[in-house]
Amino acid sequence: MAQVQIVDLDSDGLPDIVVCDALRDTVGWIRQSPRGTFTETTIASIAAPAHAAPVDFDHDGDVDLVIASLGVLMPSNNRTGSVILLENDGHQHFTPHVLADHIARVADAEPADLDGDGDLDLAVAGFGYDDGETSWLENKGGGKFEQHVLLRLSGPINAVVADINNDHHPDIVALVSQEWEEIWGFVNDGRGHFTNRMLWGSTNPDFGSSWISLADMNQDGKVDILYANGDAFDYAPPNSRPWQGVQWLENLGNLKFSLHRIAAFPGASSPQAVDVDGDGDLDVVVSSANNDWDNPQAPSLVWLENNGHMQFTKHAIATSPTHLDTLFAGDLDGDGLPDIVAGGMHISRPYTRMGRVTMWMNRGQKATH
Amino acid sequence: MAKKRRTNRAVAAIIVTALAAAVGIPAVTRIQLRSHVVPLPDLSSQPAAVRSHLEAERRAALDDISNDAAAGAYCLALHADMFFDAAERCYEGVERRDAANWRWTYYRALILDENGGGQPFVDAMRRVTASAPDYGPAWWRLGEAEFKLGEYDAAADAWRRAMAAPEPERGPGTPVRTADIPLAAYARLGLARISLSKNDAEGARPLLEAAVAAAPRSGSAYRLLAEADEALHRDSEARAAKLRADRLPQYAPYADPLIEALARTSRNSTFLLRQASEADLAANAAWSEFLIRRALGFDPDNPDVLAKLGRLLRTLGRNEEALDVLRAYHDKVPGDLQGLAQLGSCLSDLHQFAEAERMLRQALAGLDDAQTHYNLGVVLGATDRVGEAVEEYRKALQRDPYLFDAGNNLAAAYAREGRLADAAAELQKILAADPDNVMARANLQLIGRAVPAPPARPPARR
Repeated sequence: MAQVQIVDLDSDGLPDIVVCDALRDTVGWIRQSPRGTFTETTIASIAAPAHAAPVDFDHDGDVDLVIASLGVLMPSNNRTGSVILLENDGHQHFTPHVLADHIARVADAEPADLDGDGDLDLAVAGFGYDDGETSWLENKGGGKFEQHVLLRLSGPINAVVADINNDHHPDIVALVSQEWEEIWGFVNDGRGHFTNRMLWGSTNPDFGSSWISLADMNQDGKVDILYANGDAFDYAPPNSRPWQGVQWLENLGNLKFSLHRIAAFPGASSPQAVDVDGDGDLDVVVSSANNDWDNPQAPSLVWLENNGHMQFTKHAIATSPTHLDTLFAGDLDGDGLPDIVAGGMHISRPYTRMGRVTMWMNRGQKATH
Repeated sequence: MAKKRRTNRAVAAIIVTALAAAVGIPAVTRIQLRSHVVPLPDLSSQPAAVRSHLEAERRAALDDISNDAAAGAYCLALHADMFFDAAERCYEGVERRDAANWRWTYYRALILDENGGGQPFVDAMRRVTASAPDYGPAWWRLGEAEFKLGEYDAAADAWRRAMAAPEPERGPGTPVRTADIPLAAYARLGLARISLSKNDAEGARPLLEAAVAAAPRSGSAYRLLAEADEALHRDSEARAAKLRADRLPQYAPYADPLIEALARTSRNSTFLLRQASEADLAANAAWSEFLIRRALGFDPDNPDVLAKLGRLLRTLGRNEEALDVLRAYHDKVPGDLQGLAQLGSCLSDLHQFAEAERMLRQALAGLDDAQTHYNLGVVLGATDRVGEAVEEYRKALQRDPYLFDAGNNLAAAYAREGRLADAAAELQKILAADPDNVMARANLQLIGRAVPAPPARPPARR
């Protein structure tokens, strides 16, 4: 599973789950109806889908999906990537429209009006393999998009849109992995002209950058970056490395960011800031894609509890299933507490304790499986 | 109870003082030296080889407490066995007692480097370069760290020093580990990155041309050269550089002799496999195999080591040896379909087609990937089931249209069936996507079809 997320796809008031299954080449909808009952249907066959972004792309009042497609799951320099709009007809029948293809394998595509002309453009992480690029796709109207390359470095995993310099224009923050291990900011003048700035970089070419998400972690009005490094596929065995973990980059203003380690956590992936315990500060939930799974105590999902002073205590939520590379936190059962959905990617041993999509319902003090 | 502990401590202090007096080391110094020998980390989940390695090195450090080299060797063992926190504390102690030896600072800095770098790493590397200005890898690492902090001028200064520094001496160990790419080429890559970051492709280009001249197997240099050429709208040159890069090894950091020393010390399979992976097999196959076999010796129950050894032997064309290793892996991890597919492919290379087919079909039942369909096509073609081979090659191409080997084999299969027009069409498809595909070009000539002109080449540069 490349990505899971909680979204009310049919707008019936009950949150559903959308999954990108890169092993089965499908985008799935796990519909909640009635409350507490979940049923999966395939809504599109797409080659190695990596990310789905829900958005009303055509402004017709329903939820469409923008899909980032790798084309092939296994590493390749071939330009098999594409960005596909799944247009919702209002009854959850989805028609695919190719917005861009024959580009580097796409790991992420995020819609936003990047040039201020009122329509939705796309920030695109073209992971590729040794070749790759971060770019944006300018919506030229009539279903036509023009690619503008921002950075020709391989391995972009995320291209996330947010205003990082508080100038009210949407900027792009990209996590660039492979040997670069850098986080880049692309600062927008509001008209689609971007200035590149490396916000942070690791000197370790095997640092294993796996995921970023953006949140105002310290609630000071500036968007910070939550960052996990837990990838371990640079070389065998794909297990723990001493440097893997979760950190946040504090936005100090003027495009300066300061790195703070939150916790060591082997295989860290898909960190999300969320107030798990309802105490008003942002905690972090994070999964593990590559832990030392031969040890049955190795956690695959943890909650990093914030004490309100940006000091975090690690609580294991689960040790099974293993190989959880993606998660999403949201209130699935309507009790006001964030629950967690996680997806497994079982492409390395051990092939036991496997799970495709798993939910953990938050019952208050302690999450229960 | 508290009183009793105090009494015990007093007795212990008297014993330590007496022993120290006996060997001529002041008691206070001796206690300080002992405190530098950090406790063993939790070794409960470690293989026996790692446990005994660290226990022996710590014992040696304690037995010869005034010997800085013994204390340092324990730190190196912790480092090489990937106990970074303990190693860092250990190095701090040895730095204090053996301040004249810059290597302890360097090794401690390498741990900071692994943890991402940052200002503490820069500070440590500055101390190293002040003490050992001729050790080029320290300048190179300093350049990397400054660059990542956005300090481009400081990075450029450091990389220029690395470029001017001599290649460092290597130890006498065997097998020999040679530098796949010279240090100066890495420094040029760094300088080129600065130029590219400043949108100065013109400035980057000569640096990269010099880098590829000195390091013709550096895929990274060719890739950055392609980037510079693209920025300069030299499209055909960019394309040629990219194609060249695609055929070269991926990026690996400079083969630092001090890391080589760690590799020769290490008992940790992850550390050893990492070093094995970073070596270019063209020059360092023996080194890579040496490390993997060491890992297997120290961690014999680890299936990942077997898988790595099997892949290496396959790459080196030693399929008979690889077969035993891959079978051992399969016995340990029967559920790994990639492993099964690898085993099937190895059997195919050894012309054991019946068993190969069985393995590949078993793998495909759960895997259904392009490469395995292709490999099954090879087996079917080799056993004269051309029609079935065609189906498998088609399936491979459906799953990965860029798997040109499948396209070439599909064309060959069509030709065997007398379907020359279909064969030519397949080959034309390949050449449209990859005009440099030598196999497609040769096959097209073989079947007598018009071959498209090769892409224009840029004139040779002086």
